[in-house]
Amino acid sequence: MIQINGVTKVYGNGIKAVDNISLEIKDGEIFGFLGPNGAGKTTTIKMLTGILPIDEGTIVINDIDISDHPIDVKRIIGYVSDNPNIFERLKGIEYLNFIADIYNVSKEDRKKSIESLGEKFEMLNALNDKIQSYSHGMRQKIVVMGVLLHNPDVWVLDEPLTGLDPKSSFILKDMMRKHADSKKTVMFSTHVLEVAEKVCDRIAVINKGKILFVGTMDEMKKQAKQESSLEKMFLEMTDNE
Amino acid sequence: MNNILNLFKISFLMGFRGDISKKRKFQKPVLIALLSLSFLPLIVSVVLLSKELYIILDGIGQGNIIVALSIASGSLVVLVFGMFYTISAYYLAKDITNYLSLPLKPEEIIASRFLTTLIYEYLTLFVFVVPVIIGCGIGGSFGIFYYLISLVVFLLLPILPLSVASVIIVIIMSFSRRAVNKDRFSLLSGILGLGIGLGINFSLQSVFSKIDDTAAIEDLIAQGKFDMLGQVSSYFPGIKNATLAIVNHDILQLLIFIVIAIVSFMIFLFIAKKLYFKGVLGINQQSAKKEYKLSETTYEKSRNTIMAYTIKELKLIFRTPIYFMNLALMDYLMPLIFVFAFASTGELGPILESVRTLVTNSSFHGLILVITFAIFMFISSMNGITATCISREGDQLYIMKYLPMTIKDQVNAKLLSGLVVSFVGMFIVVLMIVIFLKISLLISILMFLVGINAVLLTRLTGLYIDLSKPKLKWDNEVKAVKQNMNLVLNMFIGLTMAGLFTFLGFWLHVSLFFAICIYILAFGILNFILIRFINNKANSLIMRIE
Repeated sequence: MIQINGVTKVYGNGIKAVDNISLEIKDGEIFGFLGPNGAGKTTTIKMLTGILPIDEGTIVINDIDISDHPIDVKRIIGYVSDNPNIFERLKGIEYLNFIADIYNVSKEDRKKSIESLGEKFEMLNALNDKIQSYSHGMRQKIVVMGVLLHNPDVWVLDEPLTGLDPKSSFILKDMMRKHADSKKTVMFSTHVLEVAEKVCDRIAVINKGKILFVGTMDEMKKQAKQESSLEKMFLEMTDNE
Repeated sequence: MNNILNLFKISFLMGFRGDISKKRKFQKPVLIALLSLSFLPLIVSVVLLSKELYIILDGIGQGNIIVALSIASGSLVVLVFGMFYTISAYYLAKDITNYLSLPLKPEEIIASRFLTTLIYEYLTLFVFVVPVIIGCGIGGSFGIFYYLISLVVFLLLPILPLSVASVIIVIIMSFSRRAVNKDRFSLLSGILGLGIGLGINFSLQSVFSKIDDTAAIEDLIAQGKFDMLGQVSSYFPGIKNATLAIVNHDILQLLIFIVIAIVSFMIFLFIAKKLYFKGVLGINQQSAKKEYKLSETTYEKSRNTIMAYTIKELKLIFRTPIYFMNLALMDYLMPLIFVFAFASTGELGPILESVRTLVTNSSFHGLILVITFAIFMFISSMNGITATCISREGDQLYIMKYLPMTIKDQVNAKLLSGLVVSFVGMFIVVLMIVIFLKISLLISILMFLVGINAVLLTRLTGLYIDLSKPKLKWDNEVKAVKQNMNLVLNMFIGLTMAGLFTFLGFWLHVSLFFAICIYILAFGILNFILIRFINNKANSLIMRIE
């Protein structure tokens, strides 16, 4: 479970990137985080994963406060960034072994995970090549594989479907669903409303650092003033701010 | 011409702008000024020495040899360094792919790259040529015309050797498309080019060293039959013309030199037009290997996190050509270059004998440790492996923050990787000194301990500098390493400390006991305090970067 309580983040120029937001994301659900560019999605995710310090408020994950025990929280999170260009001169398998070492995954467990994930993502034949030679989609896949090696309780993804081919995109959505169904938490940010509609159990809409809506898609449709497409609802919501 | 200058401006000036905010925009000029100041005593010494030598040699009609030798040595340095600069600027700077789709002629792109490397060469050449020219000018009481012609010669001097270096690299790199491992190919090309440059250098030196019958030479000089300038310049075109243009204010010689420079550049441009793009496109293609099956050995047993992180760092350093060439290779090559330089003079034997006599004298053992400290401070100051360890993360710095590993442990792993690289080089140096100078076991061990302290000190200062102000905004690895002022600042601190403690050691003529107290115990304690300080600060320094 993720509990974000009254969290605020102010950047050096005095702008509040995130302004007193509170959210609760339960175990077993896929939670979508929607908003236009610059809304505060990535800032919130970075505070959740310990990349940015929190200025005000608390973030508690599985009853552990990230400000008090950051390493313990990071051990139970798996984070997929929107930029998959990492450690390009390592081979795929070297990267996975490195991540497995950092998360203390045993040799037997990593073998099982790498083979299973490698087969699902059709990456087994690429693991001995340097990440430098991978396409954008393959880099995204190797990062996802690395994140899932230690079977995190909380899976946080920032624009995860960008650059993935349709098959891989389908597989990733399926994995997110299975992860949530095993009583774990999945939170991801996206611009693609159709994905949010199909995949998410609940969503939050953020704009200019403030939460505009939290709930299910049905609740969002009910809140809309008239029958309209999802896109129109979203634009209305964010334009009115 | 406009396009050439625009391209040059983009690639060169953007590299130096980096991520300087308004608050920090004065830092670069201040750092450059500080580094220049640290070289000032050396420059002044060379000016005075050149002046005296000119006066002496001019008395026997050979004054121009000083100018010729400085121009020749400067040209050779440009040739050697030009190999690395060319590889970096032409092949490892990834911005070239941005230009290929623009309406630019190939020669415009190539000429802008040449201009970029030329600027770097001026900085290198300045140390070798300018002080000597000024010293000879004072010694010969030359007027303004001497300095004007010298300025023109200085501006044109690196063109020929840089053109030669660039042609060699362009030819080698034109085979890059066939290489399976592009990074290794780039690296080996750089080393091959460096080897060619050094080979030319040493063969020229060994030719000069064969002129050892000084009595015969003195007779020839007295009879006006020996032309030293002719001897030196016969092995490198343009040197005689440049020298005579400067010393005799000869406009015709200057024009000939200008023509040589232009022709060499045109030849380079002609060859580069044919071969450069073949090479650069080849090096940017990455191909996957044939089908690979996972085996049991692929799954490594679980390692300690610091060890895993250190190994990851080392892999990235050794596999990234620009990192390897700038952060590791020179530590191993510099000692070997010095040895070969001495060996090629043919004077290695007598020099070694003299030094062996000194080191067996116990009253010099303290000074041996002082010299060891100076050598290792100098070598390790030139290496920015920890002064760029955070900068090298670039826009991936966030990874340090979300991994379940304390910042302190990650920083210690980066320090450890820097020490592993340096200690191997250090071990080579100590081993060579022990073998060639036949030093006792006790002194060898003490030298090793002094070396560890010297290397650790520069690694720690570099680490703290980079933790405090890392250069994270770069779009290719060259900028993270070569255009990073943290390296310059660390170099300044290291050279200043080396100079200060070496001067003190010699001035006080320290005994062995005193040297052990200072260079082993005191510096050991200092390093321990620095490690504790950095460990305490690391987390807050990294987390404040947003």
